Amino acid sequence: MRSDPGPFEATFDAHWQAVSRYAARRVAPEAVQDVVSETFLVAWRRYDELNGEPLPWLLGIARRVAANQRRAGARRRALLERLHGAAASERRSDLVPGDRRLAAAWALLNERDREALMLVAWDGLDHRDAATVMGCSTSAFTVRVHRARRRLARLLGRDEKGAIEIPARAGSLT
Amino acid sequence: MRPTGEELAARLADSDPARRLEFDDGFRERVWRVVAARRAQPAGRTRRWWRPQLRVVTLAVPLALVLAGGAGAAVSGLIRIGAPATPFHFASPQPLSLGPAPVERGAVHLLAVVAPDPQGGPPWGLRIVTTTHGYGCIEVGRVLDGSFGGLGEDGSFNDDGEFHAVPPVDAENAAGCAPLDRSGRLFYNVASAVGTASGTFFVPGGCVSSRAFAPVLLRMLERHPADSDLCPAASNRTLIYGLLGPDAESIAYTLDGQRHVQATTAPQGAYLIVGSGARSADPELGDLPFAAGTLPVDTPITEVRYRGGVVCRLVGAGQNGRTPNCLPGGHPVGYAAPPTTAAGRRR
Repeated sequence: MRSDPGPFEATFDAHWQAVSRYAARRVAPEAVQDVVSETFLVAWRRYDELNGEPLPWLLGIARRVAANQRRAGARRRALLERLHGAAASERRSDLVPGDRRLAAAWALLNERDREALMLVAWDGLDHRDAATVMGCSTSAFTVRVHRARRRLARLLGRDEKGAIEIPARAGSLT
Repeated sequence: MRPTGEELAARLADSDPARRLEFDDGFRERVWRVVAARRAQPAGRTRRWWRPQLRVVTLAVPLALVLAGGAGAAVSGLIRIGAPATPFHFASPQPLSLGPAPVERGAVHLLAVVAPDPQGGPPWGLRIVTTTHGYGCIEVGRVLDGSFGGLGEDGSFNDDGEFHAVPPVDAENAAGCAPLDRSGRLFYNVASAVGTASGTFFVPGGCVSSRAFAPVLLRMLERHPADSDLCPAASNRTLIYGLLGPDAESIAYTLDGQRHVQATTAPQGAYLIVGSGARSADPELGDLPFAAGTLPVDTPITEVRYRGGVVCRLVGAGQNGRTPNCLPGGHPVGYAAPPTTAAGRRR
């Protein structure tokens, strides 16, 4: 690093940890470094578009990069299986060590609900910043996260009555 | 009854897999090097910004090979993918009373845990194999694109430099196995070994990492000891790994004077440390091959954190590390391995 970092390097230093954690929650461990690197490369190319807080903007980029990584990873695994006839590992589950009931309910949520809840509960963003990440208005995000919480609570309530089955994948990362 | 909003928020926060994750300066430097290097490259032709160029390499070549009949190697990143290794059958120096047990198909699990190699290349990973005799075995090797195997170096695979998927060994004749308990749990909290950078232990032709282990290993491979050399020191890797159970959250360890924190991966509570060279208190012994134990004492691990704020501090053999009170519930934690019953095999 230079002794007098430019604005992009200062942004990198301020937020690489948060971006890394964001990636670690969403992609397989071996892909985290690639996702973080790609995120900051995209950020550098588009740095003149930054208008406001850097972190939500960076996480918005990381969200797209991670989604691409997951899709590409799934295609690669399918090809490798065809080449080698070997079972390939699945992508990282996005949760949740320990709390099997929560894991079961979580697995039944759709991707957008999970992302909305993760941005608030794990990434610690307020609704305005989380809306920037998801590319929607603050009010739309507020509605989305409210509905996601309600769905998760309903699933947990049903689970405790034994009304839903715990999916097998909820308990395993592999 | 539905949880309240506060309860839900608390449960979600507790379930954050990255809550205690720490990325060290080495990770930061690796990321920055990539960014700085790519920034320095002249701009190429315009492309859609969200498509990494690497994908062209990782997808196009395997696809071409599939279309061409699928023989030979593929390319993933900078590592060529070679033919999978053929299964190995050992001549066990002391055949176990159980006899050789075929590896149960469908009970091979690649774990989420990975660790970088000190000299780069594909990361290291772990997999669990269960056998028809009710054993659980833990294997360590290199991982590429979700495939478990080794590299063509250190004499393995004719030093071809390619990545080769490696099938599970016929497990009970190999080291690294423990019987599952009646509940199907595998207790394998710590294992340590000195391996080679290739990530292969049982590939004919490969050099052998450990002076102490060499005679045993060579007999298992039905090779005369004179046929093989010990690996050069630079090829040795110290490997420390294990399963701390679903309650584990992270370990802290000190390697080369630096403290590291590694989040364990669920649900096995798996961890994996890879260091360069052969580390042992006894240079003649060379390593402690596949020593299973209940707690990772006598290793660089200094601390294990479990769910609920339980911290187990390991200060050395015979000290607090052996105190059962530092374990959740006062007993070792086992990972519930996949079932080995006939019903389980049909799944």
